[in-house]
Amino acid sequence: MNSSTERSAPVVNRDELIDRMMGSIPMAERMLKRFVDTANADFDLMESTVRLGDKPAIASLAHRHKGTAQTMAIPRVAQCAAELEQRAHTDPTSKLLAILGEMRMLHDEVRQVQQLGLANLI
Amino acid sequence: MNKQASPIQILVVDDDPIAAETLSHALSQFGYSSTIALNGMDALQYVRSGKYRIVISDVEMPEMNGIDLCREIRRRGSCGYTYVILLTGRSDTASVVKGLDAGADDYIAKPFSPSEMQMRIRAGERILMLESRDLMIFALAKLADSRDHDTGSHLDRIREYCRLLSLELATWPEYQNKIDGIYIQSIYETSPLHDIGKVGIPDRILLKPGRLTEAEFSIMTQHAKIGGDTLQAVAEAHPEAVFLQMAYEIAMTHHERWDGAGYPNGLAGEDIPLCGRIVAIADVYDALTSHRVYKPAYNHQKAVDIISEGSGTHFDPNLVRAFLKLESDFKEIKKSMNDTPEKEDSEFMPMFRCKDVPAATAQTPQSV
Ligand SMILES: [Fe+2]
Repeated sequence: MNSSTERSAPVVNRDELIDRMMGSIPMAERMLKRFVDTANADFDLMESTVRLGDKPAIASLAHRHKGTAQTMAIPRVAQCAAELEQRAHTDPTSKLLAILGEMRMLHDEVRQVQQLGLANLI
Repeated sequence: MNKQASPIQILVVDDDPIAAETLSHALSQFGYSSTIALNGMDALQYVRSGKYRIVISDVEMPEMNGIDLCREIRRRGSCGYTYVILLTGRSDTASVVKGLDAGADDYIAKPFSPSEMQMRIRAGERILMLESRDLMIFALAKLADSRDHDTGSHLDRIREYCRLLSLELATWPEYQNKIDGIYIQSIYETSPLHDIGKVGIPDRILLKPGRLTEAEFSIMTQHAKIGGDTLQAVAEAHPEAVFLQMAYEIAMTHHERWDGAGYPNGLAGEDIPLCGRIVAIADVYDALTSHRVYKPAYNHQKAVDIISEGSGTHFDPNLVRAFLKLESDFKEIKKSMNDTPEKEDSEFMPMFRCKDVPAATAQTPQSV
């Protein structure tokens, strides 16, 4: 779903994020921490709805996560969430779980960025 | 970045707390204070408080989505206008169309760009300011008018007549360079101020049921100059506010006559600003068809005849032509916005003399 060049780009678009936070690095870091702290619970909820086959709920949760990831300038996560939202009604559980798996991996990258601090991100 | 505090309170509605808080933070940096509602139902409660003039809402939310929220805000109405901006996905044209149809004023693509958002909010502020300005002008005009008109619809009709005449003239080639949309909106907003100078006329003259003496009449005519001078001072202090110039011209010249026999300056023909000539005809038609302490209401046809006879003497002949073309619309406005039903058979009194027109020039009765 992602090209190799996109994969090599930083998971968080630092400039875009800081611009959206009106130039405030502390604000950007605070919101990024909040994203990291809540994302796991979001993924767990999405995973259980996938396993339960609640398609409208999958689409709705994925949509919201897409919005959050866009706000936080994390395009690859937003793209995965968009795919999950789009495929929620059509694709088999295994495919949806695979997308979720990819999102969790990207999320680990986000957590690393957050722990490192935005000031240290080039 | 504009950090000057704005008095406008903004309501941010988003079920995503991170997006809501980010938006709220950006708003605070632009000088706006905001409140977050995480769902449509909470948002409606906040809107009902009347505190929020701008609402920025996400579209996709559980329970009540942004489009339904917008529809509810419009359905319930409130004392002032609520400017609604929807946050939509970049390619979500369907939501945009639905949102605008539900009464949204604008939309911003998600994720928002702070500078774009600031510009959109400024556009909203301009709309809200125009609305406040119009309400304030009309409230002041009504306050002044309430002294000699017991009921409130006189000014509502005047501005409708003025708009009607201006819309008609705008289709005539000779007026196409003079009358545009801004002109029509301005005359609609400022024509109710035509008699604002009456605040300076003593009650014993303004409310006198019978004939005015020459001395009283002379004081009465001062209302045009009082209103004109006051508005001229404001217009000169704010040259950027074009509508103030029109307000001044209307107050000063709505009693001038095409033949130069009017007041306060005895201007004639096209020396009288067009807006003054338009208000003159609207004001006289309304005065003729309305009951006054000194006269009964005449029926529509009588008023049409009197105005028609005044072509080239009292009134600009072009405006009389426009009026005659639109006379059934005038009748309709008078009928639909009439708070004192007139008797269809009310008769013209031959000895009638209007308070602010001297006998020598009183071929056409005028309003005061
Ligand atoms: Fe007047």
